[in-house]
Amino acid sequence: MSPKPASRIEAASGQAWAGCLGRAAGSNSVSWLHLGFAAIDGLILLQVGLERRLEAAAILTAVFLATPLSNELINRSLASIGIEIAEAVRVAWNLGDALLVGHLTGWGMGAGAYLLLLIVGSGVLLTPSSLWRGAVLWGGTLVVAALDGGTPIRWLPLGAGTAAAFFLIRDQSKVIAQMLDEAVAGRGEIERARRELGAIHDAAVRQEKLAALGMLAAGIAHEINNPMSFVGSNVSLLHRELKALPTLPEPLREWVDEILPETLDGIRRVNSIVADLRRFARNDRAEMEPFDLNEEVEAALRIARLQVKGSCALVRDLGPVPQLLGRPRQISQMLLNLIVNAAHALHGRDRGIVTVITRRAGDEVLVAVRDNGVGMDESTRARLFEPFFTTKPVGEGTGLGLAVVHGVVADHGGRIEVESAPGAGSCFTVRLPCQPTHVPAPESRPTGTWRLDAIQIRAAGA
Amino acid sequence: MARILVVDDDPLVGKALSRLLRREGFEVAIASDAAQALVMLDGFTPDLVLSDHRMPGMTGAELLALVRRRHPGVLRLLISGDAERAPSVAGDPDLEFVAKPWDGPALVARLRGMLSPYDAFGEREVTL
Repeated sequence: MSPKPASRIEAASGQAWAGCLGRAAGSNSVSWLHLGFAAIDGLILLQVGLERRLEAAAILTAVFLATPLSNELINRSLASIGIEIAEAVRVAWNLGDALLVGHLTGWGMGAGAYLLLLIVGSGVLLTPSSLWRGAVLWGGTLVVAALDGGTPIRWLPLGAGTAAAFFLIRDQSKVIAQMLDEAVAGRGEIERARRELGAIHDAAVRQEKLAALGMLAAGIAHEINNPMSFVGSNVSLLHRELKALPTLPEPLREWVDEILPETLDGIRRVNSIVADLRRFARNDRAEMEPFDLNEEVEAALRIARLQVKGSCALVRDLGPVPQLLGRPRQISQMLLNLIVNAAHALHGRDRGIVTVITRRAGDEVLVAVRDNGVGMDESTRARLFEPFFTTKPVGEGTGLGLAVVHGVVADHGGRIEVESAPGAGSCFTVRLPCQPTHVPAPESRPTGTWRLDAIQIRAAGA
Repeated sequence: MARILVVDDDPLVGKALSRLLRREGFEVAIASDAAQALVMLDGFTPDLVLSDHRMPGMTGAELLALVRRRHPGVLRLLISGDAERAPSVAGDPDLEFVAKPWDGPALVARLRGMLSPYDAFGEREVTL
């Protein structure tokens, strides 16, 4: 690609025009001397010509048109440029000329041309190149006026003899067309880069947010664990001792049969939320061990079957994958969370299918969990991995499932990608390195050492 | 009856543990930090020290490493609410660990197992 043609075209509004007209009287004829100067964004155009001498006019026209100043540039110019075939009767004009309708009337132009200008001025401000070419071929005089509407300058007599110039225009317009194409392509590339940069920035912001939440979660988990330990211990001791009594007064019977078991269930629920939070915060320091990803998928599917109870089909498509090093209990927990989440996204629709796919991809192993369910919109995708973010009704989800998934994937030095759109289902793809880069076990105190590249979220089809 | 020294900076945790263990027939004393525990190791002469990990001053793992050196016959169990296994302390690779919140019957069974005469005897034979 040639270097940045875009700037020359796009900056066409920065320009200056000047010209003068002199009368040269010879012994038996009168000639007009034309001097023209045009500068558009660094390109300088000089024009000198004598009217009534066709050869000179044709050469000067060729010089004029051979410069990189193209039809397109003239068209977009805010200086007024037009071609007249008779006094104030214009057959072609540019944007600047069209904008000067008010001044043009002062030049005493013909009513027909005025009407034409009105039509152009009200709609198509840019004359198409073909009109210019036609006008040049047909003949006329190039008229240039400054934007302030000063005295118009008649520059270049055009006529049948400028056919050569016409071909030059055509050649030039090809170059210009190519330049325009390249400019458009270049702009597309810049736009694409900008979008990518934006996505990376968004991901970084999300990561930072998750890291902060991870620290918070780890802190909360520890602080809750202590009181919950004695609350749970005391209540369950009370329950056991009351239960062991041979006879109980009637009001206490309800405590033994209902109230204390329900209280203990509540304590268990709090404890399991805290345990999830801690998993999200990457505070598990179990040793890495070799494991078979496909076996963990099977294990997760077995448990998932019990949970989804036949509400959807669970399909597996497991390819050969090498042994990985990691924490298999976490991996199966992560897979279970993804599968159950996918099943919930089906909302009991007919023919709901959750597919689990494993593949080797270069030096990575990927496991994808795909559903054909409701899908997610942009705002949901953006907050997906935040702890306690849930789209489920109150009481049906803690909003920790995907937070745990994120923690496990980050813990294994992997990445997770999400593709989803409303109505188009969702696909979560986890990529784990075959040779794990050593992810140091975190210190006992929670720290914000999260991998920046752990998440990539993109819209389906993007 | 086996004697257990419970170390926890949270008095309510210490009391709950001791309540549970006393009902199971253990003799229990409570220390609120490592310094106090080191004093009580001589006075109370426990068979086992059950210590919290994260405490002001010396951590539980450091305390239990010290117990291993000074009182090789005393059994040790670390209990903590912010980890799933014992933090590694240099020169003390085999520290046993239980997570908070604990499950009462499971914790008691664990302690009984550690304190059973055979194990206790075996432990003493190896370390003395």
